[in-house]
Amino acid sequence: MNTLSKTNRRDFIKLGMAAGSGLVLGFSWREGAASSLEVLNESALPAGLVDFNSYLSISTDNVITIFSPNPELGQNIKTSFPMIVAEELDADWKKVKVVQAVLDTKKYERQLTGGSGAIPHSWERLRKAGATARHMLLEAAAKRWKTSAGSLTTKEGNVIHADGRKLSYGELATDAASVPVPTEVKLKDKKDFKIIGQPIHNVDNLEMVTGQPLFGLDFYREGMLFAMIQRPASCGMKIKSVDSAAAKAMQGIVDVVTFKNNVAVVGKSTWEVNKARKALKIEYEKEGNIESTTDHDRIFKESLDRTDATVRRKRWRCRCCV
Amino acid sequence: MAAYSINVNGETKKVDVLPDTPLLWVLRDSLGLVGTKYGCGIAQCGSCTVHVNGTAARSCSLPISAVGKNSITTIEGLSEKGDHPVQLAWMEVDVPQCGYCQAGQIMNAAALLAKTPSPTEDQIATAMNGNICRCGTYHRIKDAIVIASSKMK
Ligand code: FES
Ligand code: FES
Repeated sequence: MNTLSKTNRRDFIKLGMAAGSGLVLGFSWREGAASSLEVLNESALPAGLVDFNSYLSISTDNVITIFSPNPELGQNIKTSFPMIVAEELDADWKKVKVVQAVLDTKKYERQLTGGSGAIPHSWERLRKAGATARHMLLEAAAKRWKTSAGSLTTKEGNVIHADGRKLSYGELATDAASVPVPTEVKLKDKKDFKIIGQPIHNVDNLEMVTGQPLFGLDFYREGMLFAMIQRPASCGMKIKSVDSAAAKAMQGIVDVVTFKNNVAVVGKSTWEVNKARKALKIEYEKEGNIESTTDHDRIFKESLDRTDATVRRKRWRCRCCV
Repeated sequence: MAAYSINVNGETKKVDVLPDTPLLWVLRDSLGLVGTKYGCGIAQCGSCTVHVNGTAARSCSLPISAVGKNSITTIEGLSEKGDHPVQLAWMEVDVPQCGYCQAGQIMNAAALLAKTPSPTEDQIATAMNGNICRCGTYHRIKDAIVIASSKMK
């Protein structure tokens, strides 16, 4: 089934030339993707929705950069999101470069991982992002060849003329950036998918097997300090007194900070901070019930034995999955 | 603080740290070699595995004062371009899921194959037993070791 989708101007705002690269398209990330993309009356949309969170750029040297806004936690989103964009773009997957977008709560929405929601949520807009760029590249090629876009095809990062001539996306990117953003884009028939459905290797494989920094723990900055937090051993315990004199006097320690019911040791390296944390002398007092595993066991047993059970939820799935 | 001169990935590195600082934190905090990962800090998970003179060792439990003249290899130094047979096999079967444990898995697998080039399934299971993967990539780890073993022949 070919899908003709209405694309709202707000969803594909052409950003034009950016930092020496060719075509740059931004697409917004909104709740209720499909429906908001089909809204024709812009004034019906709530204000402040034009923030972008993902970008597709094509450089004149044929590198297609796709920014992936969602956190990668092993669910392979950093590979699957760009696959969807590249599919509709008819890109050469080997020339796609994936870049993780930084956390930017103003620019991006829903930069989260959870509930298996990312693909269903973004599927259509990612496809449209690719298809929109493809359309603009086709138009640019048609203009150059003085023919109609409908007579042209695309394959692996090239626009192909009926007579066999080719223009690469990179060669067309600059021209394509001045093509009006289409209001409607044609999405591929699923049987024509070449990238989606294929076993594509994780884009981070090389970085992972060579130990490149990819994780939160790998974040280092010149002169940065380290902190470790000592929390109470259980719920129901409250700090009575903190003696941090010994910890503060230790090698590499910059400060000891008590906040809420926690004590944080701040210092110059992980190991120094860890050692000083162990040197803290904290007295706790009982604030409420200290629940033990035995208590939990008893509470669960009592619940199971009760006959006056209350039905809290009838659906078998949690609310975030329905 | 004390000054140490250690041999990491074929280079001599000078560091000034507390004598009981685990090699793991010297690698990460002092030398910026962040490929070696912290998992448990108590020799229970294997994510911090490096080679000491070619043998797999838990860097979280090896104080810098005990390193001496031994030569240390980390994931960053296993190969020039990520083309050690184990790394190639790892990419071929897409072993990593989140990737967090994989430097340790790879270093342990490479040490195993250096000593036992054609391990049996049992030998693989025994050797890799101490390397925990939260994502559960164990079946692919085993497949990749078999592939790496064939690449080394
Ligand atoms: S961090 Fe060393 S074994 Fe877990
Ligand atoms: S790949 Fe995630 S912990 Fe092993």
